Amino acid sequence: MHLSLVTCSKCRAILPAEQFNVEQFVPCPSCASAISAVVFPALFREQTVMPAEPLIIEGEASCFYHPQKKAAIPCESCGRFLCALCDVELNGQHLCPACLESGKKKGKLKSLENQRVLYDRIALAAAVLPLLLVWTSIIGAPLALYLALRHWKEPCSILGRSKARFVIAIVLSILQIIGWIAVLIYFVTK
Amino acid sequence: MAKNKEYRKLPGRGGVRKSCRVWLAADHLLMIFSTMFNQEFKRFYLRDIQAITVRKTNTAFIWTGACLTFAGFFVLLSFGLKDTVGVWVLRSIAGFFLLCAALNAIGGGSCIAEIKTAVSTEELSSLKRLRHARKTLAILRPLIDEAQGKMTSEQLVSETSAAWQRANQNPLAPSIVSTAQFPAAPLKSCSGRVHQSVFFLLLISGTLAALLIYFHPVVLIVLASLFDLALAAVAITALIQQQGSDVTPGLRRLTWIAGGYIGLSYLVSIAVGFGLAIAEPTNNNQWKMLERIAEFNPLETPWLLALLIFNLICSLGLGIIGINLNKKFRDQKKAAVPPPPLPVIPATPH
Repeated sequence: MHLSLVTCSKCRAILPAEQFNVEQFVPCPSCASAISAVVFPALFREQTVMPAEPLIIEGEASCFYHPQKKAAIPCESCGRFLCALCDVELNGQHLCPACLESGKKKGKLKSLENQRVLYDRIALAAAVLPLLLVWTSIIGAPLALYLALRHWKEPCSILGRSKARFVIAIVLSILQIIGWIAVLIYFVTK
Repeated sequence: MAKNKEYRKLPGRGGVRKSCRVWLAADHLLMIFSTMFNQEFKRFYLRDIQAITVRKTNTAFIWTGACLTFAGFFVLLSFGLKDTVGVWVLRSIAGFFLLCAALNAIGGGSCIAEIKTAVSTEELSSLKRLRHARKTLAILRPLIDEAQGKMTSEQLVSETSAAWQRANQNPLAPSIVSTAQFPAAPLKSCSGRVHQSVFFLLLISGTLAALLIYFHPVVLIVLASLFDLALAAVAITALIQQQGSDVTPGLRRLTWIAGGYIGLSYLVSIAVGFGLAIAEPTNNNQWKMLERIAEFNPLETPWLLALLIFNLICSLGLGIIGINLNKKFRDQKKAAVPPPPLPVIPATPH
């Protein structure tokens, strides 16, 4: 079996320990690329293996999902008793798999999110881009207004942006709609 | 914009198709890949980071050299001209390349940084420059040391040899098992038809460039422009299609080069437009500009001849190489298709 500790990013050759945490760049022993490797104690940490679950004896609380197993901790979200196997620790919270799944689906667990659609940017683009061709804003402005209002409550960027883009999109789209209504009235009354 | 206290921006920004930035939180690094309307995240908890490697590359040096070469080429061409429009066009193109070279030189040396955890090794696409990598490491090292504890060099060597011993005794030791054994995500099957169209269209584009050297009516110029627009659309489709597909690395790279060339051609045509608009302000609309370009005889206008020959060589070169590579890729795919299973004949009792 091929084993590796830290490898060269070019040739994937294993770097010797003498090359670790050296201040300057050192040539890779295989491809001679100048490389610097900073390693941390986690590299040598041994993976802990979960011990076998003890079977419950009469009078002891059992796991909700595995009635044969002894309960170790309650889920902090739903309160169900969990064995060590079912306990998922996330950001210091102990959760059961079901709560974890529903939390991920509903977007309540921010640290499990791996993707976000930026509706504020979409709304702003729908308000601004059609202006380049002028007449396309007949469709763009109501669309931007709809998107901004429909997704107002949805989270923006994970970096905690404000709702400024939504506000700008709403203001711009309302102005455009007013402008188009004025043009329409002008042509009807002319 | 509200001040974000949860995440702190780390130096560097990178990525071609998706912009990548790394942000630092109290206990983890957040790598964000952003497109215009979407963000994808990857988290690396400080307690789980095993190593960070930085490898010097020549990318910045090569790009600076290439930009300077192009700038020098266009400046030299402009010296041989008396035509004001041509001089403006060529010098503005040279200026663009000089600006690129200067920006690249200011950026400093380039590198590839990777972050290793127990389960994966990921490239930190935002750290493309050495100075950014150094700054980021200077910020991260004390924080990771705080999360994991500091290690002396003696401890490091002894721990490494102990880890090797453990690995030799137990080949399934999870802490040092190569990540190479984890199965890669399945690749999409790409037929290669769109790629074939790109390279075929490039051949036609080269032929049109050759025709434009001798015949230059407005109709042909409009046709060539529309054709280039279609080529750009097909190239973009091919680039999107090849993401996460089984397209060979060579073909993939060539498609990117073709995409870059099409983008460069577009920039050159913009520069020509600007040059004409500055030198002759009466050309105030697109049609007048096309008529003015049609008036130039490439055989008497060196800058236009140089551009058309450049177009001809690049289009034909990329087209021929691309069709060849695509044929090889399609042949490989055909050869790799397993033969249909033999029909199972039920055993009849004797």
